[in-house]
Amino acid sequence: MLPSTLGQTPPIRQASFGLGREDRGLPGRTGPTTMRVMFVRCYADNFRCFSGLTLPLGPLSLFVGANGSGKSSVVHLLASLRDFILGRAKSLDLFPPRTLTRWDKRIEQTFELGLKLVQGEYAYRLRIRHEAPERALNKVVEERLTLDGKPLFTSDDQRVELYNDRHQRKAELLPDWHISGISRVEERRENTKLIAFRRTLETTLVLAPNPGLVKAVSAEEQPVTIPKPDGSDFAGWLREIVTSDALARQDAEQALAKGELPGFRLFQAVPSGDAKILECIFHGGPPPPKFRLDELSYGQIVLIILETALAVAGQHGGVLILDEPGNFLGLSEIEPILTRLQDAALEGRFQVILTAHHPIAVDFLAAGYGLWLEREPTGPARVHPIKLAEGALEGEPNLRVSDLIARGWLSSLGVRSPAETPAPG
Amino acid sequence: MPRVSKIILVCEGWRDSSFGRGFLVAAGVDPRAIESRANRAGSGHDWVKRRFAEEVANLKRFSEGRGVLALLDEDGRGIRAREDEVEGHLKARGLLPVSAEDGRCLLLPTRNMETWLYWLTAHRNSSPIEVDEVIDYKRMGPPSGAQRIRNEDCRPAGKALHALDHTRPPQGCPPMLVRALGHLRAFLKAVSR
Repeated sequence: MLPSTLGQTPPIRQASFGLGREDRGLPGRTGPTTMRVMFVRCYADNFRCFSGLTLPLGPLSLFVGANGSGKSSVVHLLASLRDFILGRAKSLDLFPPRTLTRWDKRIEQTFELGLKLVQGEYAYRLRIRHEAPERALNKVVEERLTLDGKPLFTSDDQRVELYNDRHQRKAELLPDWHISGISRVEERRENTKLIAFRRTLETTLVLAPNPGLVKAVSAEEQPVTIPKPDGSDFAGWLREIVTSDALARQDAEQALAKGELPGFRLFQAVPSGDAKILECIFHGGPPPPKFRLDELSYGQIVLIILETALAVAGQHGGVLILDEPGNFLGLSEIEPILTRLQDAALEGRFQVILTAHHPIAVDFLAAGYGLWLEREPTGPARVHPIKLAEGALEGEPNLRVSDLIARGWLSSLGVRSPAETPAPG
Repeated sequence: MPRVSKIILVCEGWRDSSFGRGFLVAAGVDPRAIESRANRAGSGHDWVKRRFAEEVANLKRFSEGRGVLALLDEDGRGIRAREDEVEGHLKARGLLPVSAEDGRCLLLPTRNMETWLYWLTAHRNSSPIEVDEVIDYKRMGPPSGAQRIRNEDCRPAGKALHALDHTRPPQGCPPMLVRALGHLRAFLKAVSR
C-alpha cells in the first residue's frame, strides 16, 4: 500500500527522448537521439526566484536571460539536488533558509526531478520544511522516488519505506531529517533500479569554473570523485581521474594537446609532503617546461577544466551542466567547445545543460535549444522556449539572437507567449 | 593532411553540418578550422543561399586557405533551378559564380540530404540498399532495408563519403553524391595551402 500523498501531486510529465529541433517544433534539422541518460524535467517551488517553476530539459538546453533572471539558480538547484541525493551534504547546508523565496511566506520548499534512463522514467520528489528559519532549522518532510509511477523509495518525517525492483515494500527504517534516505540505501541485488538512479547522479557534472579559486595543490584525504562547481578542487579531481579513469585523462590530454592549449603534453601530480601539486608539462626543453596549474592564465585553466569535463562525460555518459562556459575563453575558443558540446548532446553521448550570456554561445545555440528566463525584479522567474517565428528575421539578415536580446526585442520577435507555452505537469 | 586556415560550412541544420564536418575531418582538416553556420530561423534554403553569398563575399577579402562550402537540398525543384537561385544571389552581390576549384563549393543532394545519409550509412554497414533520388525519404521514411537515420549516423556518413573513390564509385551510389564527392576533392585541393 502506497502512502496516500503519492496521488496528490501532479505526475511528472512524460517527455520525448528526441527533443531535437524538429521535435520541439523549432527550425533546422535534427532528429531523435539515442541518449540513455537524460534529465527531462526539474521543478522547484519556493526556492530563490523559483515559484512553482518547471524547467523542461532536452538533450541540449541553453538557459538565456538577463542578470538576475535565474540562470545560475538553475545550476545551483541541480547541483544541490545532486549533492543531497548522493548524501554529500545535509539539507541545512544545501537548502538553508536564505534559499526560501523572499516574497513567499510559506515555509516549505518542493523540488522534483524527472530523469529518463533505460530502466524507464524516474520521478524524484523532495519537500523540506523550514520549521524555524530564524534558527536555520529545517527538515525533510517528504522524499520519494518512483520509476514509471511505481515506488522505489518513500519517506516522510516519521518513517522510510524501501521497495525492491518489483516495487514490493521490503524494509521500513527511521528517517534522518537532514540527510537523503536514498543516499543511505545499501546496494543490493534487489534494488538495482534505485542504485541506477543514484549512479546517474554520480555521473552528473556541474561546473561554473572560477579560475581564481583553482588551486594546484590537492591535499584531500578523501578522493574527489565529483568536483565542486567552482573547480577549486580540480587538482584533487584530476588526481582521482588519473588513478581511476585513465582513458578520460588521456582523452583530456590529447584534446588539449591537439587543440586549445598549444604545446601542452600531459598532466603530472608531484608529491609535496602529504599533498600533491598538479603540473602541466609542455613540449620543449630538455628539461620540458612545467607550470603549476595555478600559474596558467585564467583562460587556460578554464580550458583544462572544460576539456577534462568533456572527456569524463564522454567516457561515462551522464549529464554535463555548465554555467557560462564562455567566460574567460578567447573568442576563437568558444565555438569549437560549443560545437563539441552540441555534437555530444545530439549524438546522444551525454546531456548538456548550459547557461550563457556570451553572444557567441547565444547565437550558436539559442534559436534551436534556448530557454528564455525572465522575471520582474521582485517576482518569480518564468521560462519560455525560444522560438524564432518563421520569417521573424526576414529583412534583417544580419540580425542575430544576441542582437534581439540586446535590443530587448526577443519577447516580441522570438519567444512564444506564455499562452503558447505548455502548462507544467 | 590539408593545411586549411578556415572553411565556412553553410547548411540548413545541424545534421547537414555534422555530415559535412565528418567528411572534412576525415579528410584531415583540423576541426577548429571549420566554422559551421547552420540555419537559425525561417526558410532553410533561402537562408543557405543568402548566407552562402555573404560568406563568399567575405572570402573575397580573406582568401588564403579559406573556402565556403554549402549544402542545400534540391527539394524537387531541379538541380539547374537550385544552382540558378544560388548564382542569382552571387550575381546580385557582384561575385564570381560557384566553383569548387576556387573555394566556392555547393553540394546539392537530390531530393535531400537523407538520400545520401541512407545510402552512405548502409554502405558503411556493408548492407547496401537501393535509393531513388526522386523519392523524398525525409517525408516517406527510410528506403527498404534501411533503419531510420539517427543524429549519430551523420558524422560517420560524412566519413564514409571520404572513403569513396569518386572516379570509381560503388554500384548504386547516387549520381549527385558522386558528383558532390568530385566537387569536395577539388574544393579541398583549392583551400589547402
